[in-house]
Amino acid sequence: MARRVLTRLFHTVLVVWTAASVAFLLLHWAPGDPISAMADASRVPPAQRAVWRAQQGFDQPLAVQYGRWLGQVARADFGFSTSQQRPTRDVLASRLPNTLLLMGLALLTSIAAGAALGAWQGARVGSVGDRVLSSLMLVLYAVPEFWVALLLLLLFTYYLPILPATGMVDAVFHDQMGPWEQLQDRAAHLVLPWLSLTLMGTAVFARVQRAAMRDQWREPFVRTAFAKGLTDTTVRRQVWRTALLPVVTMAGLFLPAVLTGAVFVERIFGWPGIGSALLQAIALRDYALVSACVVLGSAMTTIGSLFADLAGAWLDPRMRTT
Amino acid sequence: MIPGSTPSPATLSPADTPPVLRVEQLRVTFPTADGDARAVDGVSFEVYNGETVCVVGESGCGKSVTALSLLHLVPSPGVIAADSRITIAGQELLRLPDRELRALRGRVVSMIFQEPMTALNPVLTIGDQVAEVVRVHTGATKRAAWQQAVTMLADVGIADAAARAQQYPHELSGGMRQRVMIAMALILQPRLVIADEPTTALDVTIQAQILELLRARRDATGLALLLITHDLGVVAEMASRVLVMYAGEIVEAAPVEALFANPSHPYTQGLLAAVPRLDRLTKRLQTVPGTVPAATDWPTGCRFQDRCASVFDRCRTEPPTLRTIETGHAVRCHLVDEPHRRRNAVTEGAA
Amino acid sequence: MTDRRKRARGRRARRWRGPLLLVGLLAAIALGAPWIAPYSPDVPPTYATQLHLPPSAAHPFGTDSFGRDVLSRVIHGSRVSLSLSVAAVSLALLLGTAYGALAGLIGGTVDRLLMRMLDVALAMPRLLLLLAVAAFFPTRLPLTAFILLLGCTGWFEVARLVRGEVQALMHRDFMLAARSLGVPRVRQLWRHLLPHLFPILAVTATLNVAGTITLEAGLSFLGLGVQPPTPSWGNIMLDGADALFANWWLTVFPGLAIMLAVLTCHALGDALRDLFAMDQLPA
Repeated sequence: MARRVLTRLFHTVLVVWTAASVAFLLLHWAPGDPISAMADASRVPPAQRAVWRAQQGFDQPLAVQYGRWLGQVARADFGFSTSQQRPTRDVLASRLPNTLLLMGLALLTSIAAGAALGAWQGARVGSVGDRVLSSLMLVLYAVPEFWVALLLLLLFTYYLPILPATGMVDAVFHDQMGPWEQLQDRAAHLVLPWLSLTLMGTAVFARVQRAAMRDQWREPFVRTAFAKGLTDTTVRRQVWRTALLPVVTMAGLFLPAVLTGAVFVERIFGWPGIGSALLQAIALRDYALVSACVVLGSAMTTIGSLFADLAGAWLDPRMRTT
Repeated sequence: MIPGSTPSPATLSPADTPPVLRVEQLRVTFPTADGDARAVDGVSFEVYNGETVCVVGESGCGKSVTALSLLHLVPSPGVIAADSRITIAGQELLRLPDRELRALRGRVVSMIFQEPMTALNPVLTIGDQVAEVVRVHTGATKRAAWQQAVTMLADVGIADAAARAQQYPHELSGGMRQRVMIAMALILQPRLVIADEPTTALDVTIQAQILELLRARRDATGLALLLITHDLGVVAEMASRVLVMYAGEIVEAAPVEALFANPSHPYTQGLLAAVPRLDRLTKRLQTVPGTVPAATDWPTGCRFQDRCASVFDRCRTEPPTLRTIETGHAVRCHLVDEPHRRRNAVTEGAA
Repeated sequence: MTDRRKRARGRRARRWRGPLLLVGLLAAIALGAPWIAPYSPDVPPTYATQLHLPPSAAHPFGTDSFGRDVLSRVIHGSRVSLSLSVAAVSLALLLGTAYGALAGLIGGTVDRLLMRMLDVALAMPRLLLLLAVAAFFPTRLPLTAFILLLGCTGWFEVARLVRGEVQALMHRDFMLAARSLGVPRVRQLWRHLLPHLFPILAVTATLNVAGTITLEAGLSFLGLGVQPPTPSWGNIMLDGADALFANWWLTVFPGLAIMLAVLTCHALGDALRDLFAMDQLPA
């Protein structure tokens, strides 16, 4: 078990290193010098540019720059963000929690709702309810997430104006609200982005859970359980426990998708997270922030899947000895 | 009295005590795309205290479905016919409401399944799984149930039972898992134990141990054992009475000595002849030619007609009924009336 | 053939009708775009007063910010989105199969090394990679580069799948027989393994096309994919995003098109799974 954790940790480090290296490569192979991409570069006299280059170390051999870069990454210091006009570390520190809140909440509810629906379906495969839900899940699965977000936006902020359209809190009045109202304000702003992410996630987990449940119902141990005189509910619960592992595995695999969804959702709802920061950075050629987001995003998903792996081992004794 | 159901003298209970199990006209049908498959078609028999009745037959003859019916566990879409009756310890199984049915399972009648590899819940410890039977049927506390489970595990021959009880099925060998199944089935001392090919999936040496274990428990508690198998060696070892099934019906029922000494149905004769013998040289192994007909399409007349060496015209039109030919020995065959038509299908090579 | 089998075959054949019909429909629309579309997708019909018209008889899907007929753009967009996705997935299949088969065939340390590297590649979210590349290029990516990019980031999962299959197949008796007869490895791959890989590749292809259509649409929606004036379902939606509330048709109809395309791919994938009688494939 300890060995497993160590292997996964090593894997995480590898991934972060690869992401950092990819960022480095792109930074240096992309047409144009990072310096020349800085705002007002054309107005800066060449002499000044040379000084900056020396300061940033861009005149050093590539290997040296690479070393410096890795060192920076290890310190989580990606430089100065030109699009946000502050150190990237500050940007990440202020934006990361918002993204984590959104992603975390969406992931948890997706798993809960998906597992509930899927387990219900899996115990009665072929019934009318199962078939209806399966079709519904298929549609949710097939629909592009950003489209759902847009539709929700249209529906609930325009045609049925009950929810706010953008931001995390009310831009004007939030600070003047009492604590209870502030909470409500936050919740109201959270609903639509969260819903957009959850719908797709629920479909994914429901499908996985349903298949796992259906497969486990066919296993011989179910018959043994009934032969012992256990009630329907007890057996159902026991079967569900054996069907949980695929869901947990899926949770680990699903993280990149949640992150991807978050990027779109943050853009559409103006949610101040790292996804929207990344998009702004791309538009404004803020390479420091782009690199930071890429490395951070990769790290997040890998660490998340590490936890999923551990959770799987905890749930299923068969995994503990492998 | 159901033909072939006389308890053999070797059993403990006197002939006038009621049977632990009485099956009357059991019919189980599975609807399929090609019509209804009558997997079990009018099976009747009884089992008395202390007896070991073996049900023999090849795959597809309906013996497993019969066993499952005795716990009312026939998998859907299988349906038990409305006029079938199964009485266990005086209770009519098929008419019982759910709660009473569950009370019977595991406590009065229990089952040992064929595949120990997959018949245990993989995420629960074996101790928990055995203790669960106790907890569900008695009001025992978790600790008391666990204690009983550990004791039982030791009784079935698992060394270091207290430690083993905390292990998971995948950490145990096949033989041990089967012992766990036996522990689960016997812990509440049921009156009837059904074992569906309990040793088929195991090595021969382990097989012997498991059978010995079953025999010991049977002798110790006087339970009735219904043992399903296709292995005649197991039958010879364990049975007091034998039921031979073919194509959903019982074709011969007899005490074990009578069956081996005087097999009457051509199918039984074929089965016995097919067992390779080390004490006689034969050029070829005997087989029963042909295969079991599809359960959706039983032929008119005797179902064994296409594989029988003694078949004659009556066989093709009139289905034979189960008839007693001597005490406790019944056969479903027209040769009972016309023994001169019997042709020997068993041809030996150089003796 | 027994009656039963004939009937089962008939049932299976009937299940194909739906997906094939949908695929045919989509292909017909995509291929026949120039003739089906009521207007040209690029040139606006006539006057500036035709900007942002809601759906009507003349323009069933309305018009966009340049006055172009949205229905025509959606139809032409199907060409772009579908051909792009198919091309990208073909590339991904090629690369993935090559990598995976290589790893599986060679086995041993090479295989382990290759799979470790693949694991790392799989751990990085694909969108981040795509966004990063898009960010570092001063001008917007031309279409071919975009397809290459999609293909080169999409082969990892295929490789993992293929390698798993090849590993399993290598232990099958027919492969052992081939090896013991001295069949050279290339021929082993070509004549023996590839035919067995076909089912899994076919199903994966459908799923990947579905995913790529959505991904391309998303990127185009962000402004980083297919560039206007070339119509893509994603960039039509981008056009509508500026004044979302006023121009719902620019959001709704392309989205429906995407949904239809994705559902078709899934239906085809399910039908293929049925045909090849596989129930263990990842959904």
